[in-house]
Amino acid sequence: MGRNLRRTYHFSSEQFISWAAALVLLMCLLPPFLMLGNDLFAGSSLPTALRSLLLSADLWKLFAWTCVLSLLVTAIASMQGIALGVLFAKTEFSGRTALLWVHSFPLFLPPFFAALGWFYLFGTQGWLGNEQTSRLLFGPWGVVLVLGFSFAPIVTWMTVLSLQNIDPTLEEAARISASPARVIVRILWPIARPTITFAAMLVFALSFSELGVLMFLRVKTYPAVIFGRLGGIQFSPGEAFALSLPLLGVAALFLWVENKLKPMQVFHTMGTRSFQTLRYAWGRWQAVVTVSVAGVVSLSLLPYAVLGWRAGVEGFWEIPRWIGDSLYNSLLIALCTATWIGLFGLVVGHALARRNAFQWLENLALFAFMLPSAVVGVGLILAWNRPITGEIYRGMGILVIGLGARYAILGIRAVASTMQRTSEIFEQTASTFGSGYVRTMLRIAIPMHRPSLIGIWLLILLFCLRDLDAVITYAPPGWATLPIRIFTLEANGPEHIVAALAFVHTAVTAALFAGGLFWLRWSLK
Amino acid sequence: MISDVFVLDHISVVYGTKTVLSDVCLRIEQGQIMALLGPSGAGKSTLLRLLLGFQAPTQGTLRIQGQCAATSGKIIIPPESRGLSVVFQTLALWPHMTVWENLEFGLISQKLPRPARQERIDAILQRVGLRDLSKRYPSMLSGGEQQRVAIARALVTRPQAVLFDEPLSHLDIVLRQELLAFFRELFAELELTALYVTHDPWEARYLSSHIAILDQGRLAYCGASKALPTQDGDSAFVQGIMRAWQDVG
Repeated sequence: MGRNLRRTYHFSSEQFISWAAALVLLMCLLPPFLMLGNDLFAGSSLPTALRSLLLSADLWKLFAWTCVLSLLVTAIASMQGIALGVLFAKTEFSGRTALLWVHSFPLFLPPFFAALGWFYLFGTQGWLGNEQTSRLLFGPWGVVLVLGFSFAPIVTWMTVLSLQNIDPTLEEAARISASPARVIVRILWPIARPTITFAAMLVFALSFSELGVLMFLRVKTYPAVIFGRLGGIQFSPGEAFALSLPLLGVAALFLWVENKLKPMQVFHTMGTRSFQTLRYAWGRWQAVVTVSVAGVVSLSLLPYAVLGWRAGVEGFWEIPRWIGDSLYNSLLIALCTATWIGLFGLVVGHALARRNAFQWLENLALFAFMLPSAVVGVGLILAWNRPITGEIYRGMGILVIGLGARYAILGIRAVASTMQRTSEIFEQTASTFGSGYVRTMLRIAIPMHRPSLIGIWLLILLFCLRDLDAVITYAPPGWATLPIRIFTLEANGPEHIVAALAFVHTAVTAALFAGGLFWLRWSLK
Repeated sequence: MISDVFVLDHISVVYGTKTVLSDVCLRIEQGQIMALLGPSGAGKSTLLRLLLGFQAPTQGTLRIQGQCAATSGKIIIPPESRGLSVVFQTLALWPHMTVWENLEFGLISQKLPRPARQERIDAILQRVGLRDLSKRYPSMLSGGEQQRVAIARALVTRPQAVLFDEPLSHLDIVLRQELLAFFRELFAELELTALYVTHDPWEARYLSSHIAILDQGRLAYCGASKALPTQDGDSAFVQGIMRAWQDVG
């Protein structure tokens, strides 16, 4: 006796993956692909435009200068992030977990806010400012320090996760014959290095892409020149496209390096398992370490506190008059994008984890992430500014698509890492009982990973909420987000209003961040 | 002369409200091969981590070679100073190091000069039959070869004792038989002191001179492996072990 064989129609996983793949292609590949069309050049050919622009020595100098600046940001973020990451992951001191979360917080705010906070502190009119501090801030070193501190949590987290995901027996086998310091240098560091290198690459890509801080601190960079060609008196999308081509090469180079590093990354070889890791005690140095780490963390939070101070009661009082729809827009767009990315990230990430297939989709999403925002902006304008897609281009749709292209990789990779933690036998067992793809996902895969998936959704939401660079290029009238509103007001609006709005954004992010952490903690219990 | 390598004196380990080891007293003498048997969750891994120095006892004292190594919440002798080696179930071969580098790591910690290191590594690789594979990375070796590297790495430092954490549990039967014979030969030849954690009574009987059985954190039996008396009040697991023991005997 056995169960009858039944012929039932189920949507297959292939169908879902095809739809998700089509979406990723539409979002991530269409913009750069359409950039290859030359209808922008009205009479002039692409080679001519390229020649006149790319043979300019000044532009290449600017390109090299942008690379140097991004390398310096990467160096500062990596030094701070690796040191803190090792301390958080491998040592024991008071307030370790709380300090790690507090240290992460600036990552979810536009770096431009930090620049604003430092300006209120060290600008010529600032609380502690004078001509010299202002000159330092409004220059390359100001950019390097502001962005270095803002992006350091990326390196910290990647260091922490990679160190915590190393099989502890590798460390224990070394500890029985070597000191903690030697084990960290000879065993843990070489295994964690590819992941940390990837983190450094992310920082480089983000700082190369950054517009808000650089424009505010009046430091000219290559992506800012492209951005300049997309609006105002220098409007020339054809030139913007020609200028974007070298950046496509940079993104392709990143992708190549990342693919070389990927097999060595801890997440990809082992998933994100949590082990009981060895932690080393500081003994009588514990208080010193706690105070030092708290000092560094407080320093990175200081500019955001300064925003509140600069706003004063008057600034907060006037918020309703100035904020308009921007906060609502920000939240709505972030919610829609996080859900949208979550859905196709679930399908593609699951396929990656279970079949180790569709690597090309992941590569494509990574390519879109590595591309400077200004370049994606040019592509999106080309792709969607047409009569037939006018509704999308003039509404919220273009922002959801643009942010989707930028942060698709977050959803895909995070879901894949999460799914790798569990064996596929749970889903295979469901299949043997006749469960199709949708039912297996809804009843088995999603409930089993629910806390992590909600965590991923929240992470994407916070990244979309903070975004300024990706959306500023193509945000349609009436759909300005809060960071865009603050950035545009900064040029000619009252200082205390700008500070108050930035503080409101910070507070909303803090509430979502803290709420998410509490929920995660509760759900994991 | 001290003949006890390990002395566990009324050791208890408690995690929160859960007692993992409860009042364990155990001695392992020089040259003794002791098998430690127990069901999952019996506290075998905790006992191993305690001996290695990764876990402090909540209560009780651990002595190694007569010296107090850990007592009531404190680790006194850190792992690197205990003179022990370990072969984990997963082997824990460092993937970024060659076979040679895996073996050399512990010798550098002992500050041995290069010629002495060379000599020791050559000798042990010769003994385990891997001399030609010294430049390979662990991923380039078969399962059996990886096992041999793990045991070579454990022995090259000439430890006071070697701890084995179910090293053969995930191998196929043929390789397992081959390595068991190899282990027995090595144990006899080197007069090792070893604690061998396993689930398998046959494996324990084949390799060990003494046996300890842990059940729900308590030491249910400890003694020579030749005679294993059944007592009233033994748990189902212990009785199962006893029966299996008699069968394989």
